[in-house]
Amino acid sequence: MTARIRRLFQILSFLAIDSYYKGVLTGQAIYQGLTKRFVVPALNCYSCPLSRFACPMGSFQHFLAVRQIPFYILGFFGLVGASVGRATCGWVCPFGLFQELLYKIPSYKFRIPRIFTYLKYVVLVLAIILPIVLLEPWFCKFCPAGTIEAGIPLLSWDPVQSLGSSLLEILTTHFYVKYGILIFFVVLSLSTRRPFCRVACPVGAIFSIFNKLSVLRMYVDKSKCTKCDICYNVCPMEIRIYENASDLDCIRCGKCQSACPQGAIRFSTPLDMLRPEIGKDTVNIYGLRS
Amino acid sequence: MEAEACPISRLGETLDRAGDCFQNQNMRIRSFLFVAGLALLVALSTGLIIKGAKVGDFEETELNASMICLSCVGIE
Repeated sequence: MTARIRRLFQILSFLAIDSYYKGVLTGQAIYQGLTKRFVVPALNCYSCPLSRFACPMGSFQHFLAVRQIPFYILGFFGLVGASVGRATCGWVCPFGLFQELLYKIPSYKFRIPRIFTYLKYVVLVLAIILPIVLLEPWFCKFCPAGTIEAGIPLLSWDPVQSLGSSLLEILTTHFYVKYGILIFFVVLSLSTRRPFCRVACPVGAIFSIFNKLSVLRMYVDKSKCTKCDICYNVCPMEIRIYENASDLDCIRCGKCQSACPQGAIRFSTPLDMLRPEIGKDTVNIYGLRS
Repeated sequence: MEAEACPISRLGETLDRAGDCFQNQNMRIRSFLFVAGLALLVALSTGLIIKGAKVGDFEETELNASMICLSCVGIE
């Protein structure tokens, strides 16, 4: 049930974020309007012809590149992170949905070693330092979400009337580097779960820091858990939730909750403290035991 | 001498109860600190968004996001 609700939520989020179809019909290259001042809690390129909202990472880097403190973006990250942790990766991100759908295609499957998941923090540090030094959005230059959402549609469409010149005429080898990175992650997504989210996404890296603090979290009843690893086998982030319910990579997708035959895993919030039958356990959760 | 009457056993029970009480108290303090920290984080984040709104961060974001990012498209 949770899986269906989540999939529906992912699709609706995608349709809500990328819904500027009018521009395609009227020849306007990208949306320019009031909602572009709001960032979404997921990687979503604002140069996508359909996008009505701004990308948090692109905006964050822009502020750093113009040497301004990104108060609004920092506050946004803090507020979303404190509320739901990394849940937006699992419930909102269109690029995450894309990778999940690719993984459904039958092919050779393998797991990425856990050590590689720490690479995203290196990417995050570079995405903070390099825009300040180079004065340009460094991560956007390599972002595969930007390639698939903005690069390919805009170059295929090439709205000369709206832009005044052809994008294809000023194409450089840089595009092929970006295209190569996208192909790399697409091929990887066929064989392993959410490779970009786990290894390279700086937005996921930021939200993961809040996973241990967030209001929404997972709870594992250790008295019921038999460590059968069914949860591990269905987890899109390949984590063992029973080892750490607040794992940095947990995207609160709820797949483990649905799959657990013992009913040992559930979502938890501070409101659980008001329910006497589970209140005692929840004190333990928020006492940072799990 | 029976265990209940033994002064050492009684002392042990008293220490056990004191230990439980300390553990519960410790848990309550940790829970309180956790909730207080979370509230502080939410307040700080909200404050940052309000500060951002005052200095024109929303307008700056809109202006930037309304132009085609050549880095995103793949053109330097």
